[in-house]
Amino acid sequence: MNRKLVLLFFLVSPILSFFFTLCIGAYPLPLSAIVHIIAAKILEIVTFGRFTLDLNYPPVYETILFQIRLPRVITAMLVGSALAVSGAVLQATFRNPLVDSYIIGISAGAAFGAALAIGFLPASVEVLAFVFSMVAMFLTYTLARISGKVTVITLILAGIIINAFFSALTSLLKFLMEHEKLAGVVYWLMGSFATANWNVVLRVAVPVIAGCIVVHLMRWHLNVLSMGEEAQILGIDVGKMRVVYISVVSLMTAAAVAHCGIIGWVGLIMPHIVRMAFGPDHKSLIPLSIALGSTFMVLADTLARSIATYEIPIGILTTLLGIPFFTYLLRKTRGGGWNA
Amino acid sequence: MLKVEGLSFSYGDFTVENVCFEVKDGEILTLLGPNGSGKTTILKNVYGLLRPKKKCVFVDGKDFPSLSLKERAKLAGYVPQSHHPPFPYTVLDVVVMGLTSQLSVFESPREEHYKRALEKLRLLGMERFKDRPYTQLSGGQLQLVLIARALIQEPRVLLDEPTAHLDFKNQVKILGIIKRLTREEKIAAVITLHDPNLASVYSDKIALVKEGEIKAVGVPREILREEILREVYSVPVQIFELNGFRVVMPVMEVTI
Repeated sequence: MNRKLVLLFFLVSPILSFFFTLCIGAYPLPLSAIVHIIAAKILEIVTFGRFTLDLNYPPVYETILFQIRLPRVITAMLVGSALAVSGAVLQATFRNPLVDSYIIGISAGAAFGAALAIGFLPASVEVLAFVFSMVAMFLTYTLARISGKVTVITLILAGIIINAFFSALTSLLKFLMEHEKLAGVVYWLMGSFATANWNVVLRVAVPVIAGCIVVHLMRWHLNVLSMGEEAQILGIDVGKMRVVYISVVSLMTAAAVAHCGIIGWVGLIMPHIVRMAFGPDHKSLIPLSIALGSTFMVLADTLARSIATYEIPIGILTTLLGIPFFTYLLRKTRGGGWNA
Repeated sequence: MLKVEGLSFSYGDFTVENVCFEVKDGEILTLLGPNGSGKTTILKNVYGLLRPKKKCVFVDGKDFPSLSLKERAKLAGYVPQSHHPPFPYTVLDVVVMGLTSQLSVFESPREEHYKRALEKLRLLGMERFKDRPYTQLSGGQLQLVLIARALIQEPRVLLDEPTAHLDFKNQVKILGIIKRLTREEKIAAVITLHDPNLASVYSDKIALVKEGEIKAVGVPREILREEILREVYSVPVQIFELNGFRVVMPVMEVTI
């Protein structure tokens, strides 16, 4: 009973935090107005403009809601889900509770690719981010593989190396970049949803929603894949499955990083909280990670934009929140297997 | 029926030469030999996890290692020597993973699958542990869960390395269960053991393995002989007869 209540709370938390955060900002909006305006807009869209509600709210309400807050909140929710799911998938694929796309260097690779596209190459930001996230993943895995084995620790150490490598390359790009572009890139890299608009929403939504659906459909096989090479005797082609899952993770991470910069630790923390509450079965872990990831990111972004008179980059905030959690995990797992 | 005809394999310095044996449905064949003699390597070759040099393993006449992993999982169950849990899954979740080969990649197990898993746990007397995290089980209990995971497939062939680090009680218990199930379910089983006396009691056939070669294969009474065991284990032994079983005793080199 108790468990069911908690489960329900996890599942509706994105909706609650969605409406909560829409109210908050430099210009506070009342909840009733938000509900009315959104309901009116939906009515207008589904009836192709034949019905409209007459609302007596100041026009600035609608502008703030549709031009500023909604795209930002939706982007944050998408990115939060993408990062949390990526973390859960990587932890299962590498049977390693201490990894996410930030720690093993996928995010750093994607950031380098995106910076390259922004500053120097006439290529799509998302495509280069995806290509280099895959390159980073491949390099980390190759480095971590020592005499045929990837352990918990070698994977993290390899992640440090690849993170350092791509961070250095990104710094080099920043050094060579024109000054007009530099400020934007620096701010973007620290992680932010401030630039979100409907175009960004669309470009993040397509890969992230597609990725979440694929992972959700394939979620139970993550249980089997987490058995490592042993999964072969259960009838799974381990190598092929790993490539599929990792490609999906790279795609989602690249989309998030290309538009919102490097936001670390979310992918590490969210799946663990779900595991503590509901156990490690990926049948429940994946949907709950999606729910919790989006909730957390929206709330963290609310904090980032309302705590001070200026905006704090979200990446800084999640890192500050993530470090104590990682320390706790490191102790709990004793740097190795799971001792729950 | 499992038939192995001239299995050869080499990796670095280690070679397995011309291994031949046959296991009928309902029979247990034990690969018996010292540590590092190649028992596990032979099992892995039989399953096709390592690739033998030529076609040599047949299950009901089919060339087994050439089948896809999925088809192999439907025909044969494998209980690995050691297992390192990645996450604290429940016992039931672990057993149901044995059904992976019957599900498409987009499917999750349903009610009926969990029911089948529960039946297998009941068969092995592990039902009351179903919701326990399997990281909290003892070595013997973990082995039983992994056997349940192999059996849920209703395999024709069972490959098992049951005694890796179990105490005497658990060895006896697990070998008893394997014996009963292979009889009842008409499974052809190949298991590995270190202890000649356990092999003598539980096997229908014994294959003595030394340095990647099978030195002798046959029923326990023919195989457990002083000169041949001395050759395989490089220690002097005596054989006694007790209730129709052969008992192998070491010869004491120091008199007390």
